[in-house]
Amino acid sequence: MDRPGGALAKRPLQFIWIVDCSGSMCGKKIDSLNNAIREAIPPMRDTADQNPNAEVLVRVLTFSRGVQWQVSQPTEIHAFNWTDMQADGMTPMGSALEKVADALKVENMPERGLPPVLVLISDGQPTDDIERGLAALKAQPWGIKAVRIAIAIGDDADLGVLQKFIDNTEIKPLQAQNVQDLVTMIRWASTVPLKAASNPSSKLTSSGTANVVLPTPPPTPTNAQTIDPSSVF
Amino acid sequence: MGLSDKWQIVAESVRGTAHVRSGLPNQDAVAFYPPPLAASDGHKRLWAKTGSLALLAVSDGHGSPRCFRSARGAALAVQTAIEETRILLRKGLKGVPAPSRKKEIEQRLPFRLVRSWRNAIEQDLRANPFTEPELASVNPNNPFTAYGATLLLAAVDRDFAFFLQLGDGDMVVVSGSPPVSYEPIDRDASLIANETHSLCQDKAASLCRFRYYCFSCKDDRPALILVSTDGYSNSFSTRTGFLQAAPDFLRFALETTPDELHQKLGTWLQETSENGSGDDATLGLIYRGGGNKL
Repeated sequence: MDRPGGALAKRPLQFIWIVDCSGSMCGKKIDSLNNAIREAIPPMRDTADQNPNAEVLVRVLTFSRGVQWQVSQPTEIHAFNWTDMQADGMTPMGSALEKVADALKVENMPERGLPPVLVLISDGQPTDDIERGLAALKAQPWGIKAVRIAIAIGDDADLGVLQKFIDNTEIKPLQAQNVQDLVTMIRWASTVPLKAASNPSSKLTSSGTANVVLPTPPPTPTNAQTIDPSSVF
Repeated sequence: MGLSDKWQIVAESVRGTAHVRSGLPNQDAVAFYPPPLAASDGHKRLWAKTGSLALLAVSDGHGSPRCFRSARGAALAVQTAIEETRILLRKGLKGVPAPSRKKEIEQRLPFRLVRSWRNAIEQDLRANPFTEPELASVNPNNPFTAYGATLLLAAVDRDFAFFLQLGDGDMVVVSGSPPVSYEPIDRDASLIANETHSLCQDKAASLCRFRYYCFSCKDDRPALILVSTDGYSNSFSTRTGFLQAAPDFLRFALETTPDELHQKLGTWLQETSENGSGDDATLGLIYRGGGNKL
């Protein structure tokens, strides 16, 4: 007699990069971001391999001249490659969050999925209706349960908006003031939340927010005496 | 199908591969009534048979840092559920006419189960107070959180069956000829991303979902009832694939002995967790044997 039931499979875990590619990201910021994410992929794969019961699926959404899925289909981490982004245009962060909310609708998500991980990276102020985007995200059960991380690049990022996106007072936006910080933050954001979200322990209802417990983020900012002045944003 | 009049019960629980990797114990628990037959070969047997009332309870301890005693909470959940249900059915409903039975059970059982579990936790805490390191993780507003666990209960007798569910997990019934599978309790669409209701929550009794069936004749009785924690169903790529397990189990059960079924069950659960969710997996079956060798 064969094992009862149908085919077995790991539980899917969606990881979505939400990246600000507006004009202010031009130059050092977008170059550093492209490099940092590319360098974070091998550690992401290692993290995924450490939990063979979770299938890590990556998508990429950018916002600048409109909002676009750069990687629209959830792509298995070992098949995922980063394509360099270009910076240009405005900061329609609200529309980007509405697009993410669409992707997280119950009918678009695997029923047995693990909590998704959303990583929002931005260096500026939203130029559209951010409240509408935040409301759209919070209207989706998977949006509420997602692990939400934000990385602020430079001094002009709107920390208040990023904190609203995170919607958890225990987690603050990660602040990257230079290239080294950005590498550290992106590496942390692409591995630690992934590991935490792929833990199969159950969480109680009624919290109303994401309830994956995250370890403390890396210290920030990097000690000013150790950084290369030319790498400061 | 040539099914026996007697209920047979077989259950097993395995530690998830993710728990093995992280050094966590199996935080699921299972218990049933009548209790397991004594093993003559020294091995633990998890099966029993009965001509009348059969009860099966399964619980999944949450396992999160705040629920650091949830393995104990799950063990107490299944023990108290079996005991309370047995007492209610055998003593508490004495003299209650059959048409009123459903209402009485639905109204009384959830509160009795939650109260009994909490009493057991309080007793456990008196015997084993929180240690200094544990105190740092205790929810100050609700110490029961440390023992948080789900509860699934299936009860079946000659002329009725009922199902009670608090939190995640699954129950499937196979009945009729040709056999048809169905879920007696609708799935709770709000429970996603590892979230669950729990015995430790305020108003836990009101979160229990309940379904009662009355049998007008012998053929109405289920051929098989499957009760499992979500570590089992989450291992299948599709819901259909999971639901297929119940009739598959029935086919195998009719061809073999409870001992053989029990041995196979352990192997299958291990394989399922390893290649699926990685979570602890617990599954119990109540079924009408085919007059097979016992």
